Parts: sequence; structure tokens; C-alpha cells
Amino acid sequence: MSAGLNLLLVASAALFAVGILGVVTRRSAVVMLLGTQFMFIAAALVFVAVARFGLGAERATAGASMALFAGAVAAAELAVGLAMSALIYREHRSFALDADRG
Amino acid sequence: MRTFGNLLAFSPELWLLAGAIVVFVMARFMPRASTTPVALVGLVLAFLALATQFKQTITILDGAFLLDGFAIFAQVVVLGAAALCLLASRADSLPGESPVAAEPGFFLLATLGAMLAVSAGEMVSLFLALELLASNLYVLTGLTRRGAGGIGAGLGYLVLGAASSAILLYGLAVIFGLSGETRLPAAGQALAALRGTQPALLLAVCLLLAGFSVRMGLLPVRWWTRGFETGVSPRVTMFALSVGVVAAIAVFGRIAVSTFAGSHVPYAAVIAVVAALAMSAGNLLAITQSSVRRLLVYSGIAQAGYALVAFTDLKRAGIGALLIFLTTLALTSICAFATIIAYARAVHSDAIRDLAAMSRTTPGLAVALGLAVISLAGLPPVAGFFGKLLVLQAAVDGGFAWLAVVGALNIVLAALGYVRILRIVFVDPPVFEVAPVRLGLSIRATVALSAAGIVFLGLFLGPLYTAASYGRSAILH
Repeated sequence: MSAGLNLLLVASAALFAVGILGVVTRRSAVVMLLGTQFMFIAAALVFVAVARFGLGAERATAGASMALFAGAVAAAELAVGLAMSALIYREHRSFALDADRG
Repeated sequence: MRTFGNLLAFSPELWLLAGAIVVFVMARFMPRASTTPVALVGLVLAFLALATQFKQTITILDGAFLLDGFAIFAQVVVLGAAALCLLASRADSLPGESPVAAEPGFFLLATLGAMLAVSAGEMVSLFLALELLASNLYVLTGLTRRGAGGIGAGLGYLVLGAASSAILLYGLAVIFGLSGETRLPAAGQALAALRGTQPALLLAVCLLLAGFSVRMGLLPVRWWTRGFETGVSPRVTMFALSVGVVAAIAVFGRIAVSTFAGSHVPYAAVIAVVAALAMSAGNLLAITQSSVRRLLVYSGIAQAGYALVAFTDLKRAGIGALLIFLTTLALTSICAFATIIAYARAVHSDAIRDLAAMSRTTPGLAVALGLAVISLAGLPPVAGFFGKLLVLQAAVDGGFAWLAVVGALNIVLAALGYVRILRIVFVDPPVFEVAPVRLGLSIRATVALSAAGIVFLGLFLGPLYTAASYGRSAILH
């Protein structure tokens, strides 16, 4: 456990918390999608941090590639999500998921 | 580079990909053509290719994919469930709805994701495959939306699904941090060597469980988005609750066996508590519902709970029981949803009381729905009974006798609740006049095949049991 690893893990946990907060408390579809992106980045950060400073140093490429693919997957989900948000905006003139939320 | 030679082991997945490409090209240039038969041909070819790989253990791309008995068993269930869903999907378009020609292509890609996910043996490939399945489900909810709330329901599903994927990724990251390995078996060896109790590993188990909960059906999407059942057409819900759930539970099973089953954390106790809560809450919520589709979704919570019961005995019989339970679960969900889709052609209502006198207007559908409901509850002599019996047996063997008692009480509770449906379907007088309806061949075939499967597995469990024990021994060694 080095200082660098601890710092990165704390940063990642904070990012993750911000993302969850965004998804849970906001009503706008775009902000909720943004929150999920924060959560993906937080998890990717753990992979990179462990690969650089922690036990994963022997398989550093595995951690880095996981972060790369996580980013790609997050972008793909964002693409579908933004397309749906645009459809919602066309129907309701707002990004709120409010009307459909129980 | 040493294992590049067996990329041909991907041939079932490649057939699915080829089928999807043909469907998308046809949808682009011949929008009026029916593409479902093409997709079905792709599924059949994939199954034939898979049949040549039975009883083999193939390691692809240096352990990124492990095609063992467990994977092949789950892949056969996934392919069969996807074929039945596609057969039923053509009957599920309301008058005035024009079918989207590209839709079967997205079904094929989602199936491809499920096939890859159950054989993935490494974190990167596993996550990518699960996301391939999930992204195509999001697209399908958007494509087949109904009414004004449809797109909102689809987007709510996407946000919830993306958040759960991120939680899952975080769980994998914690395991990577503790073991320094992305290959699941190697990570398991590293975790088994850890000394003492590891709170971080318990955190990883909880994160994985939370990340899989939406995919396994433990948390219904409708708690997040009102109108999920009405906004998304039942064929997509059926696909998500059969192929999606089977793939998610099988993947969670593989992660559990390969990584944290060998460690010293009390993972079984955590999972047992969640399973007991899910079974009881799911059944209690299900029997109070007035809508058939909502009842099936809530019953899905209980079924996911039963599947989790198998995780209390992972080292011995649990995985075999889990595989059998997943087979019966897929057949039962498909049978129930297919009868709902078929009956919706006669009666445009979702309410349970509008099923009255179903046995007089459409006796075949009534019998199939009755079988599905009995199997969901877990009563003998149909498939669902043996699935649940084996799972509860595994709990007793694993030292969780109280969990087996909770499960048995839940079978009684579900049976008492579902008798109401059987009475409405078979005994009650009709609420209104139902015009006779002609059903298409494909939806009749789906209902007949899934109902026959439920009865057959109830009578002859032997072959399935042999195959499941083969899958279990493949993953344990």
C-alpha cells in the first residue's frame, strides 16, 4: 500500500459517490446519464491505480485494457441513452424522467 | 499468441453474428421483408455448430473464454430460450403497429452477448459480453416502445442498467485489487491464499451481488420507471426475463465458483439472507397483484431468490442444481409470457380478472398458462418443482437448513396465491364475450413447445441431470 494507491482509491470512491448521488437525486435524464459515466470512470480508476501501484503490477496491461474497454462501453451506452433522451425531449420538451417515475 | 489456433471454437457465435449482419442488411434494402425466419436460421446454425463442441473443453485466447461443460450447458439454454422468444415475437404486434425489420438482428446480438458472457473466463471479456447483451436490450426497449411513456420506460431501464454495470465493474475492480489477476481462476487462487477475514472481499461480493441484481431480476425495473410493463412490449420483457436472467445468473455462478468460493469470507451467509428476503418478498408482492405481467415480474424476484439459494453449496451440488433450475426457469417464463402474448390477441387487457373463462374460449392457452403458474409456484409434477427441490436440497447440504425451510414455506405461499389464478382461468364465468381468435403458427408452436418442455422435464429429469452434473464437474476442476 503506497500513498499513491490510497489517494487514487479515495478519489475513486468519491467519484463513485458523486455518480450515485447524481443518478439517485436528479430527475433530468442527461444528468442521470452523466452520473453513470462518473461511476464507470471511478471503477476504471481503481483498475488503473491497482495496475500501477498495487498487486496488479505484474499484469499492468490487463488493468489498463480493462479501463480502456470500460470507457468504450460507457461511451456506447451513452450513445444509446442520448438518442433516447433526444426522443424524450421531442415528445415532452424536457429531459425529465419525472412523469414516468414511480 | 499460442492459442490463436482455436478461434474456430467461436463458430456458434460467428453464426449469430452472420445472422445479425444479414438481418441488418435486409432491413436496410428490403424494409418490407420478414427477417425473423433469417434470425431463426442463424440460431439453428449456431446450435448445430455448438453441438459439434459438446463434451469438449476449449480454452480460447489464453483463457479469455473457457468453453467448458458449464458454458455449453448454459449456451444451449440461452439458444433455446432465444429461439422460443423469436418465434413468439411475431405474434406480439398490435394492429396498426408496423414491425421494425431490424429488430430480430438486435435479438441475435443480445443472444450473442449472452453466449459469450456465460463462457467468459476473464474480467475484460466478461464485462464486454455482458454489456453487449445489455446494450442490445436497451435498444430493443426503445425500438418496441408503446404509447407516450414507452421511451421514458426504456431510458429509465438504461440508466438503471448502466448504474448496475458500473457497480458490477467496481466489484470486479476490488477483486482485481485484492488478487492482481483478471483471469477468474487465477484470481480465485490468489484470493484463497489470503489470510484472515477480508472486509474488502466481502465488499466485492456485495458490489457484485448489487451489480447483478437488476440483471437477475432481483430488483424489478418498474420500481424505477413507472409503466415499464406497459411501455415496453412483452416480447422484450420475455427475452430479458429468460435469456437475460439465465445469462446473468450463470455468469454470477461462474464468478462465485471461480473467485470467492475458495476464500474465507462468509459469502454464503450474505447470499442466503438476500435469497430468503427475495423469495419471501417476491412471492408476497406477486400474489397481491392484479395485473398478469406485473405478477410475472414480481414472481421473477422470487425465482432469482431460489437461484441464489443454490449459491450456499457452491463446492458440491450447488452448480448442478443451479443449471437445472435455470433451464426450468427459462421454460416457465417463456411459457407464461407466450400465453399472455397469445391471449392478448383476443383480449386487450392485462388484468388477471379478465382471464376469466379462458378455458372456454382458448382451452389450449388456458392449459399452458395453468402449467406455467404451477411450475412458477414449484408444485409437482412439473419442471419447476424439481428445479426448486434440487436447489433447496443444495441449501440443506450446504448447512443452511433454515433457508430450505424458508424456501419450502414460500412454495406453499405461492401455491395458495396462485390457486386464485387457476380458479379464474378454469372455473369463473366469463366477464364479457370473447370473440374466437385465430393464432399464428409460430406463437402456437412457442406455447406448445414450452408447455411440453415443462411437462417433459417434470417426468424425465434424467438426461438433464446427467448434463448438469457434467457441467458442474467441468467448472469445479
